[in-house]
Amino acid sequence: MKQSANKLEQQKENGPASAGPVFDLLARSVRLLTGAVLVALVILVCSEAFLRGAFNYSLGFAEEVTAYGVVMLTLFGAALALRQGVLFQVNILFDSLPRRAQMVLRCAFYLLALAICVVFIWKTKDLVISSFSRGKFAPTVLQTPLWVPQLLLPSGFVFIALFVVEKLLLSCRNIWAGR
Amino acid sequence: MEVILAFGLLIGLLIGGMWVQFAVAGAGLFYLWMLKGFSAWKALGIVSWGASNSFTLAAIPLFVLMAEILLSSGLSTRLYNGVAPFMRRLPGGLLHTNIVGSGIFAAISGGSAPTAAAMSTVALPELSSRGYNTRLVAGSLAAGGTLGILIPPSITMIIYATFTETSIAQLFSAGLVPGIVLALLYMGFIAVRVTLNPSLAPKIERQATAGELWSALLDIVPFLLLIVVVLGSIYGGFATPTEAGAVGVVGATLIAALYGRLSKKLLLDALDRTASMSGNILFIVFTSMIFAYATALSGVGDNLVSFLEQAEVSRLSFLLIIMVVFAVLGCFMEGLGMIAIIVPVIFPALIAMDVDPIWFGVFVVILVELGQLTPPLGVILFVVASSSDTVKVEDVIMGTLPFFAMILLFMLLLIAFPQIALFLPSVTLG
Repeated sequence: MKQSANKLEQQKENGPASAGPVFDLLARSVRLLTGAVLVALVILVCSEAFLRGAFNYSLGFAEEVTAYGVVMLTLFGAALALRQGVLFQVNILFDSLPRRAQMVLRCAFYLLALAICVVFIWKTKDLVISSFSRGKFAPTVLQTPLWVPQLLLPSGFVFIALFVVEKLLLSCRNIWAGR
Repeated sequence: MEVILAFGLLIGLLIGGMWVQFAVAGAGLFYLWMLKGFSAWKALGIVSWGASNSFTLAAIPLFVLMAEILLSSGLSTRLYNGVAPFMRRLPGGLLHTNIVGSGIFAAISGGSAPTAAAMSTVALPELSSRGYNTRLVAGSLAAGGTLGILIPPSITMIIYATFTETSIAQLFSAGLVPGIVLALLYMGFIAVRVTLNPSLAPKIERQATAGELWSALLDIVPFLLLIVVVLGSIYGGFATPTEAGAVGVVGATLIAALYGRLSKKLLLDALDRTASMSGNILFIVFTSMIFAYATALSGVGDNLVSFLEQAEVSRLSFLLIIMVVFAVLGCFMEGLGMIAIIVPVIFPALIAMDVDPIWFGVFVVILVELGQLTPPLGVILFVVASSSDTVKVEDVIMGTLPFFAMILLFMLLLIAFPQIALFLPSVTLG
């Protein structure tokens, strides 16, 4: 945790380690999107509370849209946390390993994380296709075609996977450079 | 057998240094595969959708954002200075400010780390330079920080409610009295300790004047108003916790503006940190839901109920076993993950043993508090230690020990008198 705090402080100065401008651009887009969703959530939920409290009127779609916002924040926020190196981690044993073993273990974990992302991309993609082909709608005022918000799941995992690839690239570069 | 292998893999990955979320997801996928082969993964899409598509969970990013705005505006200094003059008369003087300040900040933030950070950055350097015993200062700050997850709003309680389908409002109500009692216990301990050994804290000769007290009160009033609006709207049934969180964000922004601290940079930084912090927490919930799906599919919860019935394990013994399990797991696992992984497994047994789920929510949150004060993963210990260059983690650990014992004592008290937690929800929410 102390390490995470230090990492955040360092990143305030230099930004997280980057494998190239493409990844920086992706991260900037994710930051922009998550920031916008957070602001939208505050406005939407406050408006709903105010209208209901003051005029006994409900927007009718606030709960539904807010829940979609949570889906977005869960995966895109996790992608951001992963890139910034602040995802929860227990480093006690890892830190006591020899440098070489750390590098190998780290790469193994990145590959495992990538495999997990692939499973989730594959399975959530199936969900989107199923909702699309069956014409499923949310049973709400908006009657949102479910495949639209469900697209957030595979796309979120794609972003997480991309940032895992970035970590893997950085590790490989370090190994090649003998660091 | 499958459950042992799945938990073995989970702990192995966690100790090895894998990201907690991926360790949980990996172990969950492995568990599902062991139970029904690859066909068990067919439901992953719909389980993923159910795990994240939640209005209730929106309260988490909103409470995080509220605390981030207050924290980055540096208003914790104002809060601290506002509380300090009222505490001068007590034996231990400003040490009580650490506890009361933490208690107030806990009521406007959802977590322990922001609470500990808010108070430590102000109090640790200041009190150490004034001649207060460093270990006692650090211990009181760490103990005060843990109030962050007990005194509502509490992100830990929201996560517990998500996995047990209990009422967040009732949990928030149940946490308030135990939080206040625990704070009073801490203050009582400080007063006794300093009375017995006056060298631990300098004697404050000059008491605050009426003018100073009035000015200090003005510093605290906006925070108290925010607490009344956020918690009052939940307890009064006017708003859901999510709505209260959103209103809290607006209130925090107004307070920052009122004190001239609001800027575009402050808001953007707060949004940025909230996005990654919320993603971190919500992703744990997400992956734990996958693991919980596997445990539900395996029927391990029902097996545990049968086992406990056959072994004639009493309610008290079961609760003590849970305390030990949480203490051991706390060495490898972060508190939120522990709740998300363990609670779905033991919940059927709790219901079978007639344990009140709201009471258990408070009990489990205090267990997580203990974990936050226990090395090697004690988050609060590191947050407090990182607030000053001169204070070592060892000082914080030593300073925290008596408070740790007090929390343990309080847990036994809570087992003996469950009404400490259940009284307020029965009065306010019926």
